[in-house]
Amino acid sequence: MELRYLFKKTQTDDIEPEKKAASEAPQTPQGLFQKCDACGQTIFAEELRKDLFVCPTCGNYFRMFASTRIADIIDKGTFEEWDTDIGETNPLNTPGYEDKIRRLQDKTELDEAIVTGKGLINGHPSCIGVMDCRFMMASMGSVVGEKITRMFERATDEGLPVIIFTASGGARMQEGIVSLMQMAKTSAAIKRHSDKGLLYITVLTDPTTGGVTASFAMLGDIILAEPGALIGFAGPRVIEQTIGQKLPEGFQRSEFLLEHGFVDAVVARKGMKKYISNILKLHENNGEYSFDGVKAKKKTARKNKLSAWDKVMISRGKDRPVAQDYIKSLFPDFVEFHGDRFVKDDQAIMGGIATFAGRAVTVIAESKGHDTKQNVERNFGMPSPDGYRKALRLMKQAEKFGRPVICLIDTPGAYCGLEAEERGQGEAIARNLYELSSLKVPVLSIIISEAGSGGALALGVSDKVWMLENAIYAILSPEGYASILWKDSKRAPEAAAEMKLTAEDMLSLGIVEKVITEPEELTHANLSEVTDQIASDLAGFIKDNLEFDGDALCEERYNRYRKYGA
Amino acid sequence: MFKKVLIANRGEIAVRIIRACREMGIETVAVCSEPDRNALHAMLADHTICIGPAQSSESYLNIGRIISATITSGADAIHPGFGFLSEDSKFARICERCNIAFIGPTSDMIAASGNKAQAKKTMMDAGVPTIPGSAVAVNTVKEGLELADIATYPVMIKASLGGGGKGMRVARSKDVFEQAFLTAQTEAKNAFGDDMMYIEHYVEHPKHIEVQILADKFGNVVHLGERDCSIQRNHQKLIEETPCAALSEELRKEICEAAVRAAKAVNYENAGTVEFLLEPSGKFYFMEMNTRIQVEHPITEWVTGIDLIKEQIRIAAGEPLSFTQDDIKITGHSIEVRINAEDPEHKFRPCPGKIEMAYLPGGKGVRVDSAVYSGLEIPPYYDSMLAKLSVWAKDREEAIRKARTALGEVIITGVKTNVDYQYGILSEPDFIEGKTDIDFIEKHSHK
Amino acid sequence: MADKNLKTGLTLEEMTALIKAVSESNLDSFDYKEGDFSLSLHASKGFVQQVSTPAMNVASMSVPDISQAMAQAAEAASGDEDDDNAFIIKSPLVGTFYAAPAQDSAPFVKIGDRVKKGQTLAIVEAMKMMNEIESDCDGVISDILVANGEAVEFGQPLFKIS
Repeated sequence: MELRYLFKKTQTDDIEPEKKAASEAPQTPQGLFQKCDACGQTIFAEELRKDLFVCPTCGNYFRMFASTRIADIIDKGTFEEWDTDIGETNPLNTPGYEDKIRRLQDKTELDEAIVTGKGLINGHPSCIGVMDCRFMMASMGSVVGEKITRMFERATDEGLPVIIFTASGGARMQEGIVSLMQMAKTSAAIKRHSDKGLLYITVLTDPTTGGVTASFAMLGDIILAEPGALIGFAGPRVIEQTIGQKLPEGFQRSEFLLEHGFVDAVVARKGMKKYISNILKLHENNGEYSFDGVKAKKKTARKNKLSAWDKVMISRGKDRPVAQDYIKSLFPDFVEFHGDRFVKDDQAIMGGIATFAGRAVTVIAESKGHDTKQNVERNFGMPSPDGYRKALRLMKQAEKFGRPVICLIDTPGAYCGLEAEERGQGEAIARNLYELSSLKVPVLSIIISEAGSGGALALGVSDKVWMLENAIYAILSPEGYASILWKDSKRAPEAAAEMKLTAEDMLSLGIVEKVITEPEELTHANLSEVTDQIASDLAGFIKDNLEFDGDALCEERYNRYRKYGA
Repeated sequence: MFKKVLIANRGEIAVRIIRACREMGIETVAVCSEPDRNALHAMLADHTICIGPAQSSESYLNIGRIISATITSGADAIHPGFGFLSEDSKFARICERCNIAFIGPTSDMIAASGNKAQAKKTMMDAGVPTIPGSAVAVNTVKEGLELADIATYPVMIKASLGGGGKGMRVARSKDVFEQAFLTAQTEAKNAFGDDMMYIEHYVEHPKHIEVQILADKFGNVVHLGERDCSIQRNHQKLIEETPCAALSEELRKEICEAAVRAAKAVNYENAGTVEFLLEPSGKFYFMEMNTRIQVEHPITEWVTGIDLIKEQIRIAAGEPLSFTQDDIKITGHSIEVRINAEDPEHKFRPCPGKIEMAYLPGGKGVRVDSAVYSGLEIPPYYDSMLAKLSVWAKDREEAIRKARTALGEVIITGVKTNVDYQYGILSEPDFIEGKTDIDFIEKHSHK
Repeated sequence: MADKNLKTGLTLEEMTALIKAVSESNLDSFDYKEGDFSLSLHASKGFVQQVSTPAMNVASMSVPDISQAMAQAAEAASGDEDDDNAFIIKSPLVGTFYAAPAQDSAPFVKIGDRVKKGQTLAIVEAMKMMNEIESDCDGVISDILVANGEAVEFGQPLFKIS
């Protein structure tokens, strides 16, 4: 006999319990808990709100109400909503459409699938549009298109940036061809806004598909995405049916788009406001520069007795600082942007924006790794066409926003490979030379280690080119030179001397304007001796170019390259 | 009064609560994990609901499952016991939202005392002495060093969300600070997912003194005297006694009144414990407030004659305290000894297994709170406490003799226990002479 | 020592004796009815049991308690005996069992239905959250062990599939 049957149980008084009102009886109020679709866990709704609707168990992102999103992003009490009274249209007289809209309006307390308006983001004024999936999957009908267009027109007039949080099933079927025209209408309004030099940021949230992806969602100067969001033109099910095969895991998710060059950054919801406000800050040229922190450093020139070949070896040295180290030291607020908007994000080139002495600048660098693993990721600093196209995209953006461009050059050369040729390595380099020659903002290039051939020049058509003392700049590697001319790559040291590839040579040939002295053995530990000099000279460059005439810059740059050779 | 109480706990405290409810005519619902289907609490309760598998996170710590069991079983209150969810403000908050009475303080009070920095500030404002040191938590060595200078060495580094000795380190001087800080911080991050640390003056060789508080929903607050819990190993209490032999009547009054001020400062309700460190000099400092019933509550029950669990239930049901401070008389001396399934010869590692035979003593002035019986399988998933032996006698000397006598009768076979180890402490001359502080075990560990 | 909570004519001892008898008989199924009380037992590996009183309110959890005890008795009795390939779907959580998606709709499945792995068999509601219970295997529903609206605990058998 088990113990449980032997114990005597509680003797309760048999008096009827006082009837409690139903509202006082223990029960779970509706909405106290929410269930995560991804992991099935029950989550305390208050906690979920505090965590901005990210599942505390599995990290799954819940779709957010427009109102919650605005509360998260816009400073309290500063939001001013626009265009809530456009009224419904039913251009194709679709039966039952108006009733459906009205029911949704009552249920969601939204007037349509997007909320637009303006407000402050950590004090920075901006227009904002937030789509809400509860309203017919946030499909774009004429009211959505109209609200977006009006917001851009007003932003253009008032000189304000625009941020849109996208989420949509695409075009609105009930409005047919008129819905399709919204894609053109919104895109045109964005073009006018952009032509005024104004900033547009899109944040792609789950799901962003169809006609919205194929119009305003992909037109941001900066395109951000929330982790794991479904982003695509055709829906995954449609693709699977069409091609008759199963799609791979992660296909059309934010991270997939980042890898394929369509997204600048995947940003966690928790840090989104700070991230956006930082970008806004970097795009507000308030003219407050501070050169106080940058002191002119006295250069201790010493006799450099190293041979050309010594310098080749030094410039390729395993422990020599790489571009990331310079960026960290010179541009601590650097924000990296990814992707060429065609096929890929090439990590052999990194680019983004930062401030120097209070001035916003675009920084683009050829980037080797610190170790083998990083080097594999960054392809040993040998860019693919995608890398050059990313660089060009960021240069053109710098031109739009009137930011100087600082390039850091460190590459053995452009990548030599199958895919690189398929995607037009030569075209990509050529395009950069062509565009850089007439970029209407100041451009400075600094050769920090190796500058190999066209792969280096693609970031080196500039107003000024500076070079570290032990860096090299050449049309090809000394090994290549020796093997072509003498059929013996072992004679590389001899070739190095003959090729005239040192900084000293460059200075005397007029290829570079300045040589930056290096300590005996440049490492991470003494990198500041070099970056201090660069900072001081860079301060001069920035100061000289606070006000600039784009056309005059182009003219000078033309002449700078016009003079080489015969 | 409640009709049915669900006990969100296991082991001896669940049994203790079932008994109190039964005496009050309240039906009991026990919850259990799968391996606990044959645990004493699961068999003793009127109703038992299995809520999940062995891991605490899926059973005794799973708020959703416990709330669901409460609503499904029609219970109108939850007693959380100690440990598990007893100091989880989110759990208390969900109970409040579901119209389930949480037998304990409100969720806001739990949250407030869980935030050590805020609690310390509240106490300073209320005139309760606190340890000199950081009012804010920091997470960098640099900030830590600055605070350590203010607190004066030696300093204690501890996790802001800490407890149970995890994430704590002492730095005796500036040059060892950094290493101590980083070690404690890593522990804190692993254990609590938070790396904010407090730095404060390390009080050397103090006694751990705590004051039992009862407060109702009408602002009445009384204390039930102090407990001396100085016999600790790795910050885990082994033996507790009351009253504390080292306190003069004046000092006792001062500490107990400070505790009442502390409780009033946070508008406390239900049973709670205010912990102090008492320096040999007689200076005492507020440590923290425990917003739950304590393991060692039986010794207070011995010397006051008050049933703390029943008082908790009455307070939660909205009844005012039926006595005032003047009604509370401390009589005699009481000692509690914790009996754990652990192996003192192998670093006190827990020893789960099947209890072949358990013989537990009785007699005048002897009380055993336990959840063991012959044939019970002790699962490895939970803490190793098997039983609490507590005794009462007219004075400390007799209480020690009685505790030794009773402990000498405890026979538990099948698993290793710390009974002999505890017997040794009770026979230690320094203990008998009352020369105890929180370093007692460390000092006598060579024996 | 009759248990007053059970609205049956049997004392606990009598019932335990009954369970023992049933288990030892190796019966695959046993049903008992008296007044508004009904009991059905199925001696098989992983055990199965069901007790229900139609008038039972959710507050009375003593029924599952006893059923659990009986289940264990049955389980102990069935020992290592090989089962007739039956698969038991157990409740993954504490809550209320619903056989149908809504009050007035047909149940998800009934005895004799062929089901596929992943098919929804029932809902267990916990804290207003509906949790779908899916079949772990392909097969035929040979028994439904819980009545609609009944409280179920973690690990309680719900369906038998063969």
